[in-house]
Amino acid sequence: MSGLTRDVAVVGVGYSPVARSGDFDVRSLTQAACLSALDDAGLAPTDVDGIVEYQFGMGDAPTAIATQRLLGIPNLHAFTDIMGTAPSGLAAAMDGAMAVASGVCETVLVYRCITRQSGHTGAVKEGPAEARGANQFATPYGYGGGIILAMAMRKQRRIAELGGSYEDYGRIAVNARRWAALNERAVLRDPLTMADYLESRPVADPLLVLDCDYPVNGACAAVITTRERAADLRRRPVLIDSLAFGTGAAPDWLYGEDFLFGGTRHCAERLWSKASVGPDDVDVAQLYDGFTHITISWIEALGLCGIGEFHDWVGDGARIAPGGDLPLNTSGGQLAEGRLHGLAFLAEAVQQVRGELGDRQVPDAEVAVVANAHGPQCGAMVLVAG
Amino acid sequence: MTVRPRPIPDAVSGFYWAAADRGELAVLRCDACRRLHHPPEVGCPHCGATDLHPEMMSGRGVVFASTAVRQAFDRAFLDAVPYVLVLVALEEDAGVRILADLVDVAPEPVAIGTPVEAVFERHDGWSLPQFRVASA
Repeated sequence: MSGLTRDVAVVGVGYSPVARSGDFDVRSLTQAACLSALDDAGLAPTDVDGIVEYQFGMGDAPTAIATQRLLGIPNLHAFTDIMGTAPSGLAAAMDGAMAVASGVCETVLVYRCITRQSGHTGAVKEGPAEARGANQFATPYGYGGGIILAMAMRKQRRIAELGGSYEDYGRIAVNARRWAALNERAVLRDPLTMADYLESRPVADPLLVLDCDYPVNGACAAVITTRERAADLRRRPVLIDSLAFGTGAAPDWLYGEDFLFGGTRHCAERLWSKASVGPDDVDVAQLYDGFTHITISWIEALGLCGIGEFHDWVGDGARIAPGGDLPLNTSGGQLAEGRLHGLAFLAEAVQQVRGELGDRQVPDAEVAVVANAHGPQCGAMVLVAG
Repeated sequence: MTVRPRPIPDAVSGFYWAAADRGELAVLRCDACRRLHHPPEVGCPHCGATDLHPEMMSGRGVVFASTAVRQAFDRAFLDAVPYVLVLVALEEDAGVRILADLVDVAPEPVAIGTPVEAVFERHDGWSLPQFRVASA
């Protein structure tokens, strides 16, 4: 019995083609990812009675009902469009799982479609002449680029408060490329040395461009249904053992009570309290890497090592690399596979637990932990082999 | 020339910008739990109470975190880079952070804990609280 009221499984995952450039149509990207995930599960669109998607609300993804229409699904029992204040793409799977666990629907399709035009890809934008709402305390100071500058300040603050070095951040960046070399979908597959990392362009000292994920055009999807239904489907089911959200007190990217960790520690505490397994049981970890600081936060918050112990724990990085005792971000993550924005961490974890990833397969992976986002909008899942 | 976006006061924040015009830094205090918070909300982020009143701060604090911004994200700041952005922890309550630029410094991150003080940048019809390294 999982931490949910009704046992729920991920039964299919899929991707659109992932590209660094070129034209795109978000409907086609979403369609490709959704059909791929349904095919993976051995289901047809008409088997779906729920759709949940996550977007920034900038035209980056079709709405749930727009996707229902293009897939020819006659009716839905649940549909939700999640905006950009939830735990990134994983939020779609978390809300989808809740809809199935509650009995509101039986089989939910979840997706995240994202392109290089959405979010903040470092481009210079025509800023507003006036700053309103929360922006009145930020944009007059040149605070732009989404959470980039908040992450730069966290990187400086972490070293001062908890010790370690900027090389610790580089371990995450170097590790991403090691794994990406084994993933044909990844857009950045060339090896990276620590020197390459340290010499990369500073965006906002001490944040380097290689601390930031790589924007792509693409979509990722997953299909979630009951454990009972999953038993009859094509693939070995992967059960959602636990899922949890976390915000922390007075939630805000700049002003939240816990600046370094945001809601990650609250989220992790709740996650393990509802799980049948614990941090020592984790075989593979897929932890958000939109910025390297986020990954380090999750490793510590989840108890994979102690708070402030990442530097000593990670060592030369071998333990998180292929062949290591805690394989981390085995797709290359958003730093190297590309910014599919969260849901791809779930898709990778599902495939690891099913044992089908060839060169990058972690032997005997039965327990995976997946975490998304940081600051005031954290989410995580524990997955176990069904 | 950097033309900063102009902050537009709302129903809650009028006191903050009015104080800045007088060369003062004001923060809301909750009548119920007595804690300060910023940016100003319609309810206290610590306890949810709704009776909140502005209080004048000393303008002194320490650098909580900083970054030297090397890349402009808004066109208005293309001429401003590199500049130093700081979160300042206020003397009255280190849990209260104010975002600002640290003026009159080299464009490098500034050591955490560096004492700073508020200065007020005058614009046409409005004022912007900024910080500089405190005079010894």
